[in-house]
Amino acid sequence: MQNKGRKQLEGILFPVLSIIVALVLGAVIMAVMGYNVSNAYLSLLKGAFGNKNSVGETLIQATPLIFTALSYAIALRCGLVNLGAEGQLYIGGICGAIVGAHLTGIPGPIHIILVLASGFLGGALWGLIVGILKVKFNASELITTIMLNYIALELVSYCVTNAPFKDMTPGAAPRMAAVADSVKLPIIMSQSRLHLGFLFALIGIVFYYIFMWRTTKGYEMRVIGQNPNAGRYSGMNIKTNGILSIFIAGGFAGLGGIINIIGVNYYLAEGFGGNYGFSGIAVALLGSCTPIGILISSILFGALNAGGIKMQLLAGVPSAAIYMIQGMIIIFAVSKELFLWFRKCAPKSKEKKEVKADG
Amino acid sequence: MKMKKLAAILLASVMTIGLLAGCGGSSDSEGSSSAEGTVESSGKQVAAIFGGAINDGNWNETQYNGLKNIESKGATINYLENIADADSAEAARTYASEGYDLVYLTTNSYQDYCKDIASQFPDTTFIQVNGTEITDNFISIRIADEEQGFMQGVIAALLTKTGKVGFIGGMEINPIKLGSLGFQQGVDYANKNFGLNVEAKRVNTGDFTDVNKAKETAIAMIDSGVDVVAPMANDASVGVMEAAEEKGIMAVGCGEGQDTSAPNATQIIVVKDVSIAYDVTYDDFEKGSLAPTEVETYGANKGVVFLTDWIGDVDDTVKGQVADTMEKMKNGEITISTAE
Amino acid sequence: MADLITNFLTADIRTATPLLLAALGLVFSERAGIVNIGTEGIMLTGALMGCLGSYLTGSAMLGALLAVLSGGIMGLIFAYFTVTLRSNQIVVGTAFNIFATGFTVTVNRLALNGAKVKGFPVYQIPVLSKIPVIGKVFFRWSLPVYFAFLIVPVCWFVLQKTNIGLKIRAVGEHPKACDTVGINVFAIRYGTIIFSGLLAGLAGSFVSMGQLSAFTEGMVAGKGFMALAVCVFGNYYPTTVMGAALLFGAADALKYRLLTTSLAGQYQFLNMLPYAITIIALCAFAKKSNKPVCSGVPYRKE
Repeated sequence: MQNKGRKQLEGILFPVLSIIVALVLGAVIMAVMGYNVSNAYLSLLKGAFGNKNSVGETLIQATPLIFTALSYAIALRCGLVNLGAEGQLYIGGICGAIVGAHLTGIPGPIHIILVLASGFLGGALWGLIVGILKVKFNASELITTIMLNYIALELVSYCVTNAPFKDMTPGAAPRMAAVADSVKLPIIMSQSRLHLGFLFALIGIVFYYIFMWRTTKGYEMRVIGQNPNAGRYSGMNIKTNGILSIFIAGGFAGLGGIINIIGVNYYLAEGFGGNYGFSGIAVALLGSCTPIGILISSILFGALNAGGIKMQLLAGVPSAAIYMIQGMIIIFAVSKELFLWFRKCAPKSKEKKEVKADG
Repeated sequence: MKMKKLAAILLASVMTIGLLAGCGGSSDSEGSSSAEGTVESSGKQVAAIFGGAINDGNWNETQYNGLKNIESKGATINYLENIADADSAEAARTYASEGYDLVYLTTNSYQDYCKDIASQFPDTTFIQVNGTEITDNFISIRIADEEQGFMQGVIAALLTKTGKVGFIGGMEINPIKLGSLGFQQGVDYANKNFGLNVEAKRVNTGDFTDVNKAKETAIAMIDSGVDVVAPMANDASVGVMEAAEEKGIMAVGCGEGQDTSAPNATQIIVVKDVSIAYDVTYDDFEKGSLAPTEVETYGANKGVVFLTDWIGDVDDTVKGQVADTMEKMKNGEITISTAE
Repeated sequence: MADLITNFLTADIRTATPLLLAALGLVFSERAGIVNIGTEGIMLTGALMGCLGSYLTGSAMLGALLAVLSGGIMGLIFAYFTVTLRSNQIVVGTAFNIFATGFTVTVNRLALNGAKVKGFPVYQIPVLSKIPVIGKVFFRWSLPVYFAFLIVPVCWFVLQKTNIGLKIRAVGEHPKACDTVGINVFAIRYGTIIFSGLLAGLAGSFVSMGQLSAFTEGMVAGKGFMALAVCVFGNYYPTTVMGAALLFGAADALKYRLLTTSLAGQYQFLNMLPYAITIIALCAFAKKSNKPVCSGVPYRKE
């Protein structure tokens, strides 16, 4: 009983502690470089939560991260390491942007659904390639996902600079044609740019919970993810489950891409995906791949991104220093054992093994 | 027992932050006050939002230099780098609400996100580089990117011995695309007016940061018979210059200082210095006379595109022909098409 | 024709060298059960440190030494987090890459600013370098290139024929069993990670000082990930890793050659070539993988 209480406490305390440690180290770096540390962190806070607009910006940044984190988590629950959210996000973006721009004469809500569906499908098919290569050829998804990321990036580069999908407006920057006004997502909070996509992300989290913990398929995937042999002996099909999980995972990443386009960007341009693919991995693992954990850590990362811009702007801290702080927060956030280390008398625990990094 | 230890660690961490914040705070306030001491403030606050890094040796760097010049004229400056298109709106809004007088938007992909911000903040003037829109406080200027490529093309065509010249661009964004088109027209112009028969090869690597990609592309091009290369790839241009140096052929640079990467290969550099556009627009803004009715072009006519002194040992007739072409372009006697 | 072949093969070796160096290091840490996607960040740091060292001392070799050391230190830190603290290797690797991006930009702007430095000098092997075609392709390189190819047999020997190699392979397969028979799992993992860090640092310095002679921000541009791919696709085995690096280098060299033809307009598809070839090759060879059973799983001593 006491043990459970302590565990819960640690579950909250350790991530908080690790963030503090990272912020302290960040402070040291900024102080060495001669920046005003208190001013810097104040602007970070102000930029992330200072007013309605800042909160909106934080949640806008969190939205695609929720999707990419879910993408990673869904695959991982089934024992696959999906490093390909980046590419799936881009392909989802391309498919959705094509439907959003070139399909006309459909009522708005139906058009939005079609755009979202094509975004999901694009990402899902890109994920499916990984699944099929894994099942048919035993090709490590660690490598195929990274290679497919690069290929997706090149496809984006092609689509934004070549007919028929590029923006044909004379003098336009290289990008795909703008999506129709009717599919642009409505703003859901006044005095901000926060769009409906954030609600979609929350729905995504709920779906993740229900699917993984309340359906048979989800149960099978979790069993396979934790112990493939146990799954095999109880008659579960490892291959189809794996393919299904990476299909859904890719779809989620694709949704993140297209929602970012119809919510904020309105155009698909190179680099619109920022670093959401790889940050999503950190978000998922920082949140221990649980629904609530992913929500909280995506907001933390959203705050770092949104606040980072303000930190650069108001305190003059260069983006390079912000990258260093982000890197450290990520490292310490997953290193809760650092704190266990302080307690010399760590009990011989029978905790389950760390989340498997590789199936 | 354990809880106490944890609490102690937590407390210690918080105190450390406080202490560090305190130290950092004091050390920096000295720094900033001394900085303020050297500049007699004109009261103007000027900012720029960059899509890339401020030290890319080209597009962003010359604009950053322009911003620094404005600082030396007494304004307070601030900048953001590596800002994605969609984030530019938020950055522009923050500058405007912080009371900045003038905000430079350094790339044309920002226009669609920032023009609405301008209408919400009439007290801030936005200058959109390579934009197309003009309102009271959203002023677009156009940099004549094609002129730089054109001159690189003319010079390369006049220098080549093999009859093959090469252009290596980075990402296919508008300035590079226009530069590439200009290069082709420059070679065509030289063929027509100086009786040459030179073939132009134009390639984009799709990348501004991968220097080795630019270098390998240049080497492959040189291996195929090209003997004059002209880069236009920001950071990655260095790779092209080094390839020319290593292979012992000629290069026509695109940014000042590139001859240090290729002291023997570099013949001349066609500079596109956007800082000059910053000088002109800021001066007009201070005088209150920045109110163009149409998008003005900043090219050779305003000294934004210019040639360095000859670095290589080049024939006097070629020098004459190049100077002559440059003069004509300055006077607007040469029209360069910007359509694909 | 001879020229064409010479140019193609030299481009191949030039592109393959940094991948081979980093991948050889990764063979050891991967075999011991560590997945290090932070190699990208270590290489980037190595690229910067190499130039910084060369800039400060005027000697490319001292620069390389600094790069190797910095790679080793980053390896040590990576090992501390992933082996001692058992943090997730993928996340720590991702964090390394983000951190290195910021760190290299900061240091570059403070101390180096992309200054041109002394690159690795080329050593022509007497007599041999005079042989037509072969001389140019194999015997006119800087030291890291000779080093990269000459340590391949050494790595093979250590991994396959020595006691240490046996322990490394065993640790990746059955850490618990190793522990019971008295093999120090932690020490083996620390050692292999640091070794791969050292080589990744050297690989990085070759990117900035062998292929070029200056540091630019973000210049490693995915070569760390490619090295990981080369390691997997070379099936965690030094000699085949060399083949994989050369195949990838050839795909790259082919891409550059095609860029100068009329296909240049579709350069994006040419850029995909090396990645597509990697996937295809991976599928063709992955059936009998040497991937260790406990790859990516932290070991908990009980």
